[in-house]
Amino acid sequence: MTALEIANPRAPGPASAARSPRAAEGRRVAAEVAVSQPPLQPSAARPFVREAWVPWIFAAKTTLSALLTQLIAFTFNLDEPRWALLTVFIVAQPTTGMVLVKSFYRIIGTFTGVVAALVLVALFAQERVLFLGALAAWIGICTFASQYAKSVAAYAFVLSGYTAAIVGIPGALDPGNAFYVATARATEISLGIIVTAAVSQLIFPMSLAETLWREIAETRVGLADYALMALRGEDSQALRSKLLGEVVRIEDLHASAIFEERELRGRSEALRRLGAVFVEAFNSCQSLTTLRQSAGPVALGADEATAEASPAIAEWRSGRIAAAALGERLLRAQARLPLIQPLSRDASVSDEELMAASLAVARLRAFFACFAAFGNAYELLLSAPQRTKEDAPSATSADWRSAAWAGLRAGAAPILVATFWIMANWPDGPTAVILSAVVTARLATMNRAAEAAVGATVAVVLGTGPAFVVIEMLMSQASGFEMFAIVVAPVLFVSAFLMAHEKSPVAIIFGFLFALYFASVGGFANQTVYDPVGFINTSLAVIVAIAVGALLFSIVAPYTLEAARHRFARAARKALAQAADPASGITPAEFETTVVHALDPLRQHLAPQRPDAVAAWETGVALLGVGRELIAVAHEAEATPARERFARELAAFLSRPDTKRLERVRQRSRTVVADAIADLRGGALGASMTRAAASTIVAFATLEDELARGGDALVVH
Amino acid sequence: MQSETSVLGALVPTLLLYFVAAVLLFFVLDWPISRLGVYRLFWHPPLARFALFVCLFSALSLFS
Repeated sequence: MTALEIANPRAPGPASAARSPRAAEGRRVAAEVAVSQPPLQPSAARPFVREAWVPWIFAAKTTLSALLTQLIAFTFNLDEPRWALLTVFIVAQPTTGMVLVKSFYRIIGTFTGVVAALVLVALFAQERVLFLGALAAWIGICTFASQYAKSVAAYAFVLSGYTAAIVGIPGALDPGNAFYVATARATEISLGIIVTAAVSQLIFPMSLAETLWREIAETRVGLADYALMALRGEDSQALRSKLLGEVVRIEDLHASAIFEERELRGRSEALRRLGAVFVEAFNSCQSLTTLRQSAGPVALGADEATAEASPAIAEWRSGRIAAAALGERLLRAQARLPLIQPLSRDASVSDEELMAASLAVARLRAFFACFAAFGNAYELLLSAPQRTKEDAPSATSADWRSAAWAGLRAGAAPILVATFWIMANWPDGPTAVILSAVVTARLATMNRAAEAAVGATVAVVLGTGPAFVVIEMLMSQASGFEMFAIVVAPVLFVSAFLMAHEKSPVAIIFGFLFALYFASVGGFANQTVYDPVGFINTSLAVIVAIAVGALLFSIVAPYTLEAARHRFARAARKALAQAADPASGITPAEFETTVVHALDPLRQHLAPQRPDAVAAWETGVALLGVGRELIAVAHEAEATPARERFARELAAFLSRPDTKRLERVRQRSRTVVADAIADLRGGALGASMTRAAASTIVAFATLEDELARGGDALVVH
Repeated sequence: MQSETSVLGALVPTLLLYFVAAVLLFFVLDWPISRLGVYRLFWHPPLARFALFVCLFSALSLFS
């Protein structure tokens, strides 16, 4: 009997049958791993890079790439070296997985954009409205494709979109020289891509694998600590916030893993599984911290179980035992938990106490099962990567709705700016239109774009002064490339340093937008001239471009918490309706996958300083328990009138959720429990019916409790 | 409205000055309105805020 089967002492059905093969597989793999080599260690081929060094190394590499592109551009007298500099900052990333493949796709994207631009120029050069409209449509489609395609091809789409703007607008303004403009831009952009790729790959390459193992190891230790505290009845806000951050990080790592080395790609499924199990285990730990109020025989049994489980968890945490041994000891701990039947025969225990006792027992059982599952999933991840057929698209393929909104934003930005350009006859309009396309297309791939872009607009406005000092006063005095490098390097270094803070999306966007501003107004050329008027005019254009981007991200389908809650409520309602319906045949694994995937929009808002986002996420996670119980209950054949009333109320609640209906559903489940307790105490049941009644008590008590914790996630106005 | 105004000797587009004035005025008006929760009555609160700003900017530019 596996840990999972004991946690659900019900008649074997498709639900538990679906669990046991996976649990058996997990045990087999875990046994192999325990015998073979220890978890992945950094080797000489991959020098260990300490986490604190990563931003410095990335900033240094990016600055080096940028200066190198400028040196090459000046040496070969390229037209506008600033595009190479801009490209360096657009494509720079701290991790170096599959750099060559990504660069290959980026260059393909560049040439696609150039061809598209030339086609548009050939068709519409005299008709500016049509030209700008067609260009905006192309950018919108490319941005949509870049968000929707969760494969390496996304990199090509990002670049083809705004390259068309970079080449097309100067080309349309001067159609006779359009081809030369196209080759010049393509050269500069490709230069930026190639130099960044080379520097990134050759100097201190930092692979995602190290970050991954480090994060996973921290997660494991953090969860074990939290579990030990929960078993003692304590709670730690700091540890909870840290673990919530881990939830976000694991999913981000999973999303990036498919773009990395084959060794990581093969583990992406195991990583997804670990993320889902981690969410459940964390939720289970949290429900334990409120357990310590129970008194009486339950407390006694719980203490014995805890005494068995805590040392096991502590030893697993320090690595002395493997997951298989952990699972067995948690099984033994489960066996020490009091059973419901003998408790029910004890007349001194009231009905409410019996219900509370069964709830406590259910939570502890679920906790042991979840924790054992986490141990298995962890070792599954560390074992050899699975043979995937190809880059199998995982459950994190983005939904087309958010991709469509991103495309709409990216298309609307150049249209808005171009409208103003045409109507105001603005000389710097071309710069503004191009940069607005770049900003919205690139920000679409980053998190928390709205708030960060607004802040960055203000930062750029304030940074105009220092930039003026650097560019117009210092740089114009510089003679020779070395002095130019000395003047320009600090600004580039600081921007790249900000871009490297992967834990703070706002800092990333700040750094990127300031680098964009600096590259645009810098006027980098072989002979630098003192041109303050040009500086101010171009600054205005850049600020307008960034501001339009910030505006669009704030207004067009903004990623607010309310919108995320609505999306989650929709998806969760559908999943729960399926879970409650015996005819749907949904397995617990499928339900868990669907709900954890639906939690994504809520997860993106998670931050320790946002209690409303944390609360929304936690209530959503509680629904996992509801679904699990519903699936198990749906497979039981007997249908008493009380259970039928419950099913009807539940269906009514799921179709139109509000607080009154939620209350009625909870009332009905309490009735079912009361009926089952009465049956059990009546003593007139046979052996199998007694077991069924006991399991009904546990199931519906858990249902009522999880609905109390999670029902609000569905009630969204 | 003149298309350019002289500020400390430099010619600055007048629209820019009105823009800055509108931004300041917007912040002055926006803060109490947000605190009172008036934006929640609208279907799309961020759009409503932007609309308020557009009204202020247009009013300043057209009527001065």
